[in-house]
Amino acid sequence: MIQKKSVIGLTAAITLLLFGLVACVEKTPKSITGYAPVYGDTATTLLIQSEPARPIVHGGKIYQYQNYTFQIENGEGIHIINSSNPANPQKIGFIRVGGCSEISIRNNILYTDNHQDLVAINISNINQVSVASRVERVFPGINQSYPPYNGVWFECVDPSKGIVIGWTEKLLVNPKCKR
Amino acid sequence: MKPIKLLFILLLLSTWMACDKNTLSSGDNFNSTGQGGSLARFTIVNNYLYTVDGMNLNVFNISTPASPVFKNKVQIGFDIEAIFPFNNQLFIASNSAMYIYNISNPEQPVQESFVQHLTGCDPIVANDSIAFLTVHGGTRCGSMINQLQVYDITNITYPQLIANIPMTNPMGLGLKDSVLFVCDNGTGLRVLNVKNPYQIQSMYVVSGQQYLDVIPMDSTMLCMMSNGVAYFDISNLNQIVKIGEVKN
Repeated sequence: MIQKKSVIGLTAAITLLLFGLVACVEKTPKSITGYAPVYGDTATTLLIQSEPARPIVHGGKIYQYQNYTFQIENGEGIHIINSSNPANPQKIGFIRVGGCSEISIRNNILYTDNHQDLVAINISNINQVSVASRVERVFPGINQSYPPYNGVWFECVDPSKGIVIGWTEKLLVNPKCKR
Repeated sequence: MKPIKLLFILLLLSTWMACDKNTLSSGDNFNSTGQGGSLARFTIVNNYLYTVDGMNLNVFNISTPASPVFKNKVQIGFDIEAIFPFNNQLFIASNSAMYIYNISNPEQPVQESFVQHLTGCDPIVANDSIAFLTVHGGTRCGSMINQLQVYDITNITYPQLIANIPMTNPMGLGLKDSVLFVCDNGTGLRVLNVKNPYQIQSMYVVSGQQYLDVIPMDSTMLCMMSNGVAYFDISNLNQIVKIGEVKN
């Protein structure tokens, strides 16, 4: 009887071990489609400057200040529209702001999000804006540790490569990170 | 584009007051603030910039506009979508709830109430007595509910749902006098008479173009498109007329 019990115990233990092994194998695919971080270098991601008017492709939120309408180009910057004559509004320029999605303006100072930072931009000269100040790392921005999906494999983040500005699909070989 | 469920609360007077304030301050260099839509996550109240992100409300002092100073971070909840100021209140919309914060002490927002609804995300607008909010079903919020919800907020600590109006796929909204504009994708720009919030009447629908949000001003209204901005003359609310647009 005792012997029989141990046999059952042993079998159970082995079965569990096997399951464990299988689970391990399943957890470390040799190659699988997952996600990889897209890095931006500091010089590029934090660059804010006036640029020529350009097409509105991924138009985001809008804002009216005096004679100007502003529309966010999601993740890329802010379109400036002269709307003094709303029957004939004209795009007059673009402010490059990586990672932006929000806008608010007071007294010629435009507040927006530049990835994780709040930036105050002086728009007194609407054709040549300048950064007045920056409050660093107050917004979550794009998650710096993992992609915005559950149950996926991804290339582990290497902060030395820069700030994560997005995630892209990629065929991963021996991935080490999973969410 | 993220699939969005929208929660809009539109407070009647606030929009009127915002417009009024802008008009008054437009020539005043010391206090000139712009106007955003109902989807906004940044808003300026007096000398403070309030921002919401996924979980938090951030407070920045902008007494010196060029040098904002971070003052406070308050955890609100999950999936915060939009913020709308009215008087001493901030209305904050998340995926599943509407929160009302008191900012009498501007650097220390205090929660006054919250209303949980089944689903919904996004923008808010309100006045002393009524809040309008759109709930937009979608994959992210896991619901099929699409409606305009109307809350009596006379008692700010106990918002009461007084009406549910079915919608197709509502997004941003805006208020001008006693007229409510709702961007209802699939149907059009709905124009509603909300003079009696207990008996809201559909006036008409402007169809043909998909708008995501609106900013009603004195005589002009801006409408957000995914590839530009449209301008309407709203001086006659019985017949608003598109007068211009910037596209592509």
